[in-house]
Amino acid sequence: MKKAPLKKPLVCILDDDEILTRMLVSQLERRQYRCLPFLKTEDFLVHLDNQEKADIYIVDFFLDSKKSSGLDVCRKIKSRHRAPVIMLTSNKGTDTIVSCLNAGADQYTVKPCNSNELVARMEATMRLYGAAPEFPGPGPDLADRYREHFSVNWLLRTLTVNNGTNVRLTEKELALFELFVVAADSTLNRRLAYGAIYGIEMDPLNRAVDILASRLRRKLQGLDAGIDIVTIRGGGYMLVLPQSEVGADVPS
Amino acid sequence: MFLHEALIFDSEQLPAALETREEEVLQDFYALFLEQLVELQRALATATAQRDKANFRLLAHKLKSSSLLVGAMRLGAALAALEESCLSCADADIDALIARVIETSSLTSTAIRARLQQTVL
Repeated sequence: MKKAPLKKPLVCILDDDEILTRMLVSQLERRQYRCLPFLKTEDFLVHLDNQEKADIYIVDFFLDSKKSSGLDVCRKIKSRHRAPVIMLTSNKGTDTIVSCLNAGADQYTVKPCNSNELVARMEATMRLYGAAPEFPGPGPDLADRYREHFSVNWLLRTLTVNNGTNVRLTEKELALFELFVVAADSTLNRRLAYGAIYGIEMDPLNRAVDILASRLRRKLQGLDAGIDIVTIRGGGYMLVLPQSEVGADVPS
Repeated sequence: MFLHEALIFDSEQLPAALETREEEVLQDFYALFLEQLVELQRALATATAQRDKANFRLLAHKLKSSSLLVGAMRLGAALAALEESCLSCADADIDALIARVIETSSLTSTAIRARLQQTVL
């Protein structure tokens, strides 16, 4: 029997540096990837919400956008798709790397990057997701798990629940919410959340995440849809959904 | 390596990064980089007039990686030094570093144009 030809994996690239982006496209297309480059964050977010899911996302850490940083974009991808993300950074600073990983990035690479190294990192990461060229077929989207409960409009920053009511979130509240979505039924650690949102290590006395969680909790309770945030003593927070396996067994 | 020791233009860098010596492709990249250099010089002049340090950092960051990719090694190093200085708030160095970036970008531009003309001839 004849084997069906393998579909080329789709790589979505977001970097406002046109030269670097074009170079990445050239290097990856040479290696049999399909590339979808974006120079503007807004265009990328529209695509993320409406178009074909990529097999892997490559996102620059430092984006020339007043609205979103690379960390914001990484969280958005992770709260929407079960797909690997590689962050491109210009420095090897621990804070940068830690915040990339805390925001959900699977890998990072320092620019200007060696194409062989980048491709090796991409393929290693895609293997873990079952989306490497030899194993096509992405896993289920995280967003699908939550569709019956709510939807998020990232551009307007609104959260709409299934009873039709909605609430506008601040950028940081939305960032925290995205992290809850990625954490699914696990506890969201305060320190990791802080790093993923603010891009720096958290001072142990800093209460920013607690304040943010409290504000978000009030807004969620105001929607009257049974969605809530519970505090896990000594750990962090967990998102609880109504009559769902997600957050059903909340430790007391 | 000291800033002045870095090559103004390493013509082997871009073909190595792109893994091609196809002249048309290389020229496209050089032309795009030259356009960005002009924009950088213009934006630096504006930022200098306004003493806009945040913008210096942004400009330096924006072209740093591209410079290294196309082989503008000295400019890449000068931009990295400017970005670093903006981050560490070392005000005293910034004027000298901007002057260095402007001077190096001009030398780089000349070198890349010469490389493009060589090909035409």
